[in-house]
Amino acid sequence: MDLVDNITLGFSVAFQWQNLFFCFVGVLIGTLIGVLPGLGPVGAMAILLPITYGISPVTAIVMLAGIYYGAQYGGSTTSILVGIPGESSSVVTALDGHQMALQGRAGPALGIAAFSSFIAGTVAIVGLMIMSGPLVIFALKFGPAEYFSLMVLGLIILTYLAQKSMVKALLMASFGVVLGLIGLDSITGMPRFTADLPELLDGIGIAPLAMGLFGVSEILLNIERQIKRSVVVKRVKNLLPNLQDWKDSAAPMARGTAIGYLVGILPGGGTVLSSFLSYGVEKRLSKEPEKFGKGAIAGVAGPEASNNAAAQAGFIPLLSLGIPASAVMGILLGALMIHGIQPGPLLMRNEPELFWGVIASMYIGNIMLLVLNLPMIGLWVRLLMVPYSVLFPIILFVALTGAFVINGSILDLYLMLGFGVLGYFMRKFDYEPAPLILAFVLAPILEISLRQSLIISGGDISIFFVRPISLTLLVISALLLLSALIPSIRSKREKIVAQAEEDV
Amino acid sequence: MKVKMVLTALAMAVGLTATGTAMAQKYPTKTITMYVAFSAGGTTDLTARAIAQGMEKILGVPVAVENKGGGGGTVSGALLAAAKPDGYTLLVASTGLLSMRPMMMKVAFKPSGFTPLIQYSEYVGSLTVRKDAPYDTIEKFVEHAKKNPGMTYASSGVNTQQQIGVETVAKCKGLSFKHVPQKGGSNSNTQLMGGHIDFIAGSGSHLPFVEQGEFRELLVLHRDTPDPTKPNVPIMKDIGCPPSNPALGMIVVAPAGLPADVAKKLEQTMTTVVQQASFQELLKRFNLPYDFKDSAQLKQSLAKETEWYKQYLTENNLLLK
Repeated sequence: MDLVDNITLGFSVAFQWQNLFFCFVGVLIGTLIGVLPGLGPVGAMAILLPITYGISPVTAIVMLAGIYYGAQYGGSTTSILVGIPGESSSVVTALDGHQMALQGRAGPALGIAAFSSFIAGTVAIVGLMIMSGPLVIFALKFGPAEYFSLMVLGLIILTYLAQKSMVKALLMASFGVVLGLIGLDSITGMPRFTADLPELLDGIGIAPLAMGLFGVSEILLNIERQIKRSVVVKRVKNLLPNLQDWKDSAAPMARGTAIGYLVGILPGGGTVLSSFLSYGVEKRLSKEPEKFGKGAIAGVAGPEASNNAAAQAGFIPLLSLGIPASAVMGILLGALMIHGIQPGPLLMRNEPELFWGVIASMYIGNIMLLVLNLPMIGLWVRLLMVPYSVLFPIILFVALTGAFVINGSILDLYLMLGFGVLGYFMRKFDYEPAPLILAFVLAPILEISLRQSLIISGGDISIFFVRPISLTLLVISALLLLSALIPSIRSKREKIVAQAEEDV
Repeated sequence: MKVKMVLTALAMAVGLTATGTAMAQKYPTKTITMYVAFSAGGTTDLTARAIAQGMEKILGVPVAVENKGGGGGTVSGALLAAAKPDGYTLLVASTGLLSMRPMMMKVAFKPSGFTPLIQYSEYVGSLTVRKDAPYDTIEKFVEHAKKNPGMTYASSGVNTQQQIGVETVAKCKGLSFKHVPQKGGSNSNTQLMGGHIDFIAGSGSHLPFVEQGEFRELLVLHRDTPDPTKPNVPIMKDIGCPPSNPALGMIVVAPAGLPADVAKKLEQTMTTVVQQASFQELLKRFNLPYDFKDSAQLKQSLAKETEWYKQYLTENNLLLK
């Protein structure tokens, strides 16, 4: 069956009224879940799974998928408006997006986020249709050695996240590595640093950590500064990105899409890694890197594109091979099985209506999300005009509820508040939270991949250099590291640091 | 006077017993909370939710499912052991939580702190390779392994049922494998598909790949009789090995000290639910075997299981000091 036939089949399925309806329900719920910090799509999908028993498998998957990629859209809203990441993939958006909001540019930030997400999502879907076969085979070539090298690359990018002192950034990264150690060690099965608390056996959750370090600390800082939020809402046209914004965002969007698509297709890759990678790449390639962290729109456009592309690409391993790339895909796998569909390499052949119908409906879902999110921008910006003394208790309450709902664990609340206080002090002394979070996410994967690789090779380090993909990634990492030491780049860094010191 | 006292005491005793029975007859009167020792969306979680739904229809009260998948189920174990034994708190978990975990790590509960109610399924395990591997029978595999010590295999975690199973094969045949632990079962499938490891200790999620022709099961573990769904795949005794570790079961438990009549009502209700055709169909769709044990049988098998794992952990120096 050729591609055009398949696409036609897909759209004919997707346009059936019940699929349209449930697609809308899914993306709506997803957006709300994304906006509310803490509760993620995994929880919502699990709760809503029983509702899908009475409907057809296609419709069920369409709805559940909508919740997932809808949450990526919603997460950026809270990140930008109040600096609390609504989803772990929106942590990076909080860096520049919130700064833009503070400068009165919340509208353009939200707009670019929505458009980036839409464009990236759509392109990724096209990629899903055309290229899934060869790409999946490529993804399968990623064994432990390749993941190790990818993580090395990710941590090198970390150096580009540093705005001010590199030493402080590396210190934060080290702290992130240590925090990532907490929990059950996968190789020996023994608990590490858990203080005999069973809640810590799975490690510190990224949601309480991110929400505390970014969100709660932001609230504390704002209370201290007593910022007079003179966000004046002008006419509607200032609520959308202007031409300059578009010009600045175009290339980041394109790069973000590519990064997100490639990283998202890797099992375990995911939206968090891709958004950080995109941010690092954009900062590295930008002609004005000192603007990053102060409201550079490229710092919103790139990561938003990449997290949506990664979300869409995450479906590829599931639909084409039956391999769930993340916890969310695990739920979809369960949903497929409940409906009597065996996931696996033959899914595309045995259930073409499901496969192409779901892909087509993702396209429709992205359009629905754009239509949903754009008009809301005016509403959100108006929300910012509420006096902060009224706003912040509400935000704090929502954040606390969100953090608690994830596991029903009070420890998560204490962690979030504790990290909030820590984050407050950190930021006052110019220690940045972003490197901490990136290291916290990447280091555990690096560690387990390193140990797995060495088990396989019997302790032989050459495994990382003999395998072509791993070698390529390591060479890129080395080049990036070296270029940070080259004078011309060095002076750029000094320019950034000098600029930063001026602003203080 | 004395007679009056005796009669009053008698009347009180009768009255209290009657109230007790009446209370049990009234059970349940409010929402029952069912904890699940696994995270949302996994197959065990989905079977638990199906049981909860079935129980709601029979008992007429809501049964709320809450996932407490932390720490391999130990968080939920601690929650349940601390709950009131009034029949309003239950837990769906693996028997390993009671038989293995407390001996391996410090947990906030004792195996005696639970009332086992029923078992409805068990976890499967098999030594699985890629379809295109040069060894298509277990005998050829063992031969290959003897000539090439250090074959790599992935599992869903260290000291999981399936990983221990593979090690018992190694012990029996004098082989040495390199275990490459993963986080969770589906990663093992990915690693095998990509050819990064030689074989896997399949824990159930590998079955769709077997059916679709990507993987091949060489040996069924944990069973004393051939698996009826795959009678041609050999079991331990077919290759001259003593039985591997017993399969862990999917069970429902309540806190210890549950009143006998409440326990009976729960057991009866759940037995009815798991015997329903819709539940049986669900198990089939998840490739889960139907292995039912009532509370008496379950208590017995738990004791045997604990014995087995105690010995294994002692031999391998993994017992908690």
